[in-house]
Amino acid sequence: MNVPEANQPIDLSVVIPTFNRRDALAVLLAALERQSLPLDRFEVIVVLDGCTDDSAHFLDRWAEAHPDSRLRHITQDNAGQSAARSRGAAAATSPVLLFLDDDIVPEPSCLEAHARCHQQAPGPCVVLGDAWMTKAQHESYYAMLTRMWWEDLYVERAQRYPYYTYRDFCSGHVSMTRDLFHDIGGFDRAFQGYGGEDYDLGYRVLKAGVAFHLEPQAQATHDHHGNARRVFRNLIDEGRNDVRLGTKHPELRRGLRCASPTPLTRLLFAMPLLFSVAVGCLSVVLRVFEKLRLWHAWRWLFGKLRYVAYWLGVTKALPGWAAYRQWIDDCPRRPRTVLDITEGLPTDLSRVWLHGPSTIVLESSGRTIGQLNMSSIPHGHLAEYLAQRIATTLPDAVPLPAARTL
Amino acid sequence: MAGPDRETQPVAVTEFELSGGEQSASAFGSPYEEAEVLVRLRRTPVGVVRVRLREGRLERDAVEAAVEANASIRDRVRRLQQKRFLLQHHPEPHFTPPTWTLVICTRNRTEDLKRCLQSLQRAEGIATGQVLIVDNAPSTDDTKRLVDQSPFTYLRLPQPGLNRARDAGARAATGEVVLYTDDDTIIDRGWIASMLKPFDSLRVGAVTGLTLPLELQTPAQHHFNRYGGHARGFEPKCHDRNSLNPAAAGGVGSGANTAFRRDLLVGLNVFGAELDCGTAALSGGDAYAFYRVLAAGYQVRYTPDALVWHRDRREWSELKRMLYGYSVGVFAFLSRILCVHREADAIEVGLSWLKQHHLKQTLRSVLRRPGSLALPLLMCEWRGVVVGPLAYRQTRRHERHQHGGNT
Repeated sequence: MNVPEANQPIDLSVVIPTFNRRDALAVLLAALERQSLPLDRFEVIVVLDGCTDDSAHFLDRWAEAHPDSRLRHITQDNAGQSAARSRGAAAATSPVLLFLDDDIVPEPSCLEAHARCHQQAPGPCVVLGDAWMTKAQHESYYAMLTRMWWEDLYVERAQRYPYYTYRDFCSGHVSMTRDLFHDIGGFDRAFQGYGGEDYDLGYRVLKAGVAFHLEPQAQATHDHHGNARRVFRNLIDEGRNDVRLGTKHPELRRGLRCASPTPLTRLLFAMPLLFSVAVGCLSVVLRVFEKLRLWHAWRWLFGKLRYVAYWLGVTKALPGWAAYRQWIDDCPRRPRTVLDITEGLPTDLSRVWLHGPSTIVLESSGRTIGQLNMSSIPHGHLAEYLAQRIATTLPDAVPLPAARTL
Repeated sequence: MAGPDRETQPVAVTEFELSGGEQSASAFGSPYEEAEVLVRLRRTPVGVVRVRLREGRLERDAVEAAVEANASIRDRVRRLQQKRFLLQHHPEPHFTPPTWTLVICTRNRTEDLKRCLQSLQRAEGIATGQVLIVDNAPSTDDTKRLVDQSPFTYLRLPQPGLNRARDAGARAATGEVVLYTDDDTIIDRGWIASMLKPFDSLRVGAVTGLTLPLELQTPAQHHFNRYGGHARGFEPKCHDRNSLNPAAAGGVGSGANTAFRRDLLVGLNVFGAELDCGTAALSGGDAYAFYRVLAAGYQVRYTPDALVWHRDRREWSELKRMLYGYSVGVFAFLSRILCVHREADAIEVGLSWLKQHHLKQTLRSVLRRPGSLALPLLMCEWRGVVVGPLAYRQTRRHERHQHGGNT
């Protein structure tokens, strides 16, 4: 274990939680070696979250082989990613934290880009980085759909400039001012399993008045290792964690997927056991479809199973239909924001800002001409999204030049 | 409405700009009583209307009345106007267009090509990229002479086959995006920029545009146009694996008006030599290319802003041959993706194509419904259904024979 020399300044503390993935760590450390930011300008804190493989031994050898690096590792009993990240953040000595998942491979200019953004920022700052999925030589159908979904997320996030939402915060590749992280309380360990903890942290950052900065130079790749069956487990966690997020921040509740029940939902609450057995059985059928290359049917069934798995997660967090209804009824009304479009959409749309669901009241020449319910995250560029919605849903909202002078 | 006289009279084809300003010719010769007018608003195509000419002249009032009477055009114009008004203080997001190469494959059609090259020279931004004319197994030197007089690059390919020519063009191209049009087209002035604009993210693999008839002179051309032609509507679309079964890629767009990312063309080998003109499969090369791009997880975008005028077949016999060729091509394409890519959905798509198109149109034709295809043309299409898979088998054998089993 190397002890950093106290008088030399460092730019970043890279915090990497890991669980039994020594090979992935080897790839990540090799990428850290290739950075344009010299090895002695950043420290690396790997948190071994109950690892039972030889990750610790591997890290010791790596640190010996790289005497100018500042690699440390912390071992803890398995407590989940949030706990591991918090542990790493507490041990960090630099004023800037960079969180990387163990399967992320940063491009050579990535760390320097993060460091530069933070140096140039006037105050506390959050820098979002991309983590594109690598395309396998022979990728499965599921892997391809996942990659498409992932790439869509990043493309849309980039289009959203400069208005980002709490859902644009991904803890797999993000850097933030250490003091900000501690001031807002760090990751919430109540979020167990997959998902939720980054949305929660992102939302608290935005509420603290700090905007996200998406840095195009902060690029990384990401080896996805999932399969269709694991995704159902993750979706159950996601449903549960969505309820947790909505309970912690009631103003977000209306925008969550679990706030829009369908006729099937009630049935799901009535007999969750039956449905979880059904998901188990039908995931076998899914494999049959995959063997027969019936992609159309596969996608249809996969969509249904995803839906059921997510709602099973919701039923785990809320014990019954009555409790669920109560949870929905208790949530506050959407805040209303007035938007004056007498002269077109105003250039500053941060008042329409989407910390959470809201209702936008459109006014023109002092007259209310309609309203838009912003429940879910808008797609892509905010001004274009709003213009498209107004043009399609409120045909009479905007005064037009006379028909003759088209 | 659709009396027999209406079908045989030549109709002028023109465009009309609603916002005023530049207008193309508004006076036509004596044989024309009507005009098929493409209506545009600040160059965005919004629809097509049929307008009666007054003494051979197209009058503004008449077009505006026709637009007023057409609910979908009116609605589209309103939406465009509203969006323009709302976004007046919002500059368009910054976009650096990719570099491009335009490939035109031709074979012994120097007259058509000449008109196409003239339209190219008038196109905006033509000097920002590379234009390659691929001369596919020509029997004369006419095309070479024509291209040598123009600023464009000439490439001769001795083996016949449209897909081979497209592939050779892609391999010789230097741009990040390869644009394709046919030799019997005229491209719109803003075509190049409109084709490049949708390539705004790495998710986009291909773009296809609006193809309209260049002339409506003969009954065959009228018939094809009334039946739908090559046009795919006036709303932009974004297809990917989630929204469209890749086996149904044939309906996405037309090979006369497409663009692909070059790395995909080369990497995925999208122009298989077993398909399209010059092989027994007769067509289907574009459908297969869209299929490959969609199946690999990329988006295919349709943008009506990218406009190409295509000269449709003039004679009945040519139209018959073409529709027969399309039908053979579609079923050869489906056979290929079934055999080579084990795409079981090809069966479903083939059956629904038979049901939705062949059966339905035949029924409509027998019942003499307005706008239906002539029965002899449909018979050609039915023949193509049977011949398609056989043709594919034949071309595949031929390819295997030539390349020692390497396809």
